[in-house]
Amino acid sequence: MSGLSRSPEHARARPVPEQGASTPLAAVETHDLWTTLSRLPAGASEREAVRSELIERHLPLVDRLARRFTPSLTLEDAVQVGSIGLIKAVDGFDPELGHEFVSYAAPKIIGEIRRYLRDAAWLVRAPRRAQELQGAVAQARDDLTQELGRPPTLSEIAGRVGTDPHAVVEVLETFRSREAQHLDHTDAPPAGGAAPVAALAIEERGYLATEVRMDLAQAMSSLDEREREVVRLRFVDKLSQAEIADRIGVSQMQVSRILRRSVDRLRRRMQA
Amino acid sequence: MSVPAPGGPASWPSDVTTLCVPAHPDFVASVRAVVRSTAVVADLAMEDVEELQIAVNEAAALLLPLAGSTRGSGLSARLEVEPGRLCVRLWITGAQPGAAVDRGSLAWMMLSTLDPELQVVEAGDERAIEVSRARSGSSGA
Repeated sequence: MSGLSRSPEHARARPVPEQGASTPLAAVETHDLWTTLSRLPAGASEREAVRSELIERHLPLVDRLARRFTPSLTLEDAVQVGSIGLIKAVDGFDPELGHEFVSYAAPKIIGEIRRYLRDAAWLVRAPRRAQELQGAVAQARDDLTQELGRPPTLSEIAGRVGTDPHAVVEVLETFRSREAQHLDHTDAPPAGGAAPVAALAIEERGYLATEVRMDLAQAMSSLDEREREVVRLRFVDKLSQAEIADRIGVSQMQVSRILRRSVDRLRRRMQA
Repeated sequence: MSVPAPGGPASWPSDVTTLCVPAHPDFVASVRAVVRSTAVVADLAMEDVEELQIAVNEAAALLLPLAGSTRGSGLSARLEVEPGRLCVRLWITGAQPGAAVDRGSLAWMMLSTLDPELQVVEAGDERAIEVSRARSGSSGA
C-alpha cells in the first residue's frame, strides 16, 4: 500500500477555489475529480494524479468498513486488503451512470476483505499434516510414476512418503477445499474464440444435445487456456492424466488439480 | 484393535458397502468421502480416486433431477471392492414414468469418458448408474 497515506483530512470539506489549470487537486471537489478522470485518456500523465487523489479521499471509507471485520482480522490487515477493493472500485467506476461512488465501492471493498478472510480461513482449517503432505505426495507420485512406468498406488505413495494411505487420499480433499476459493474467479474469454472452438471439439463428437451446446461454449469461456486444453485432452482426446502431463509438460498432480477445478467450474457455470 | 494394511490379501466378511443419503446435492460429498476411503482399501492410484470422485459427481448430477420431490427420497450408493478395483453404483427410486438419464448432457459425456463401460438401469421407478475403475496400469484397467 505504499503511496497511500490514510489521512482523514483528505475527506474533510475543503474550500472550493476557482478551478483552473493551476488549481491543486486537493482543492478540487470530488465530483469534479470524477468528471476529470473520466475525460482524461488512459495513459495521460494527469490521470494518475487524479486517480491517486480519489483513492486517498476514499480511504476513510475503507477504514470504516474494515472495522466491521475486527477482530477476525487486525484493522491494519483489513484496511490493507480493503484498499485493494477501493482501487478496483476507482478504476471501474463510471460516474456517467449516475450512481454514488460510495454505493458502488462499498460492496467491492467488503468483497475483497471477505475473500481474504475466506482464504485465510482455509489456511487455518486445512489440517496442517495434509498441507505438509501435499508437496511430498506430489513429488512421490511423479517420481514413482517414472520409476514404475505406471501410476503408483496409494499404498506405494504412502510407503515412499512414510505415512498412511488414508492420509495420502485426504490430500485430494485438501486440494478441493483450497480450490473452492477460485471458483468465483473468471478469466476473461481469450481473444480468438478459443472457448467456442474447444466446445465445438466436444460437440463434434456428437455427445451433446443442441440446447447444451451454447451453454457449454459459455461455460468453457470461464476456463483459462490451459484448463480448456486439459478438458479437451481428457474428455475429447481421451488421454489419461499421465499422458496429459507428458503432453503439456506439467506434473500429474497439476493435471489432476486443473481437471478437478475445471470440471467444478464447468458444472457451476452450466447450472447457473 | 489393529487395522490390516490396505491393499493386502482380501479376507473381508463382505466386499460391499452401502449407504443412503438424502437426494440432494449437499450430500454428494458424503458419498465421495466413502468412495475415497474405500479406494484406499482397493489400493487404487490417485488418478483413479480423483476420477471416480468426478464420476460420482456427474452420476449424481444425472440422477438427482429424476428423484422427484418426494420427501424422504434418497440417493443410494453401493460400493463393491476387490484388490485393485472399485465399482460404484448410484441409484434413486421414485422416478416418474419415462424419466430418463440425460444422455445429451455434459455430465453424460464426461461420465462415459471416465468409464466407457458404464451401466445404466432404467427400470420401474429406479434409475441407476454404475461405474467402475480398475487400478491404472494394471491389466484389465
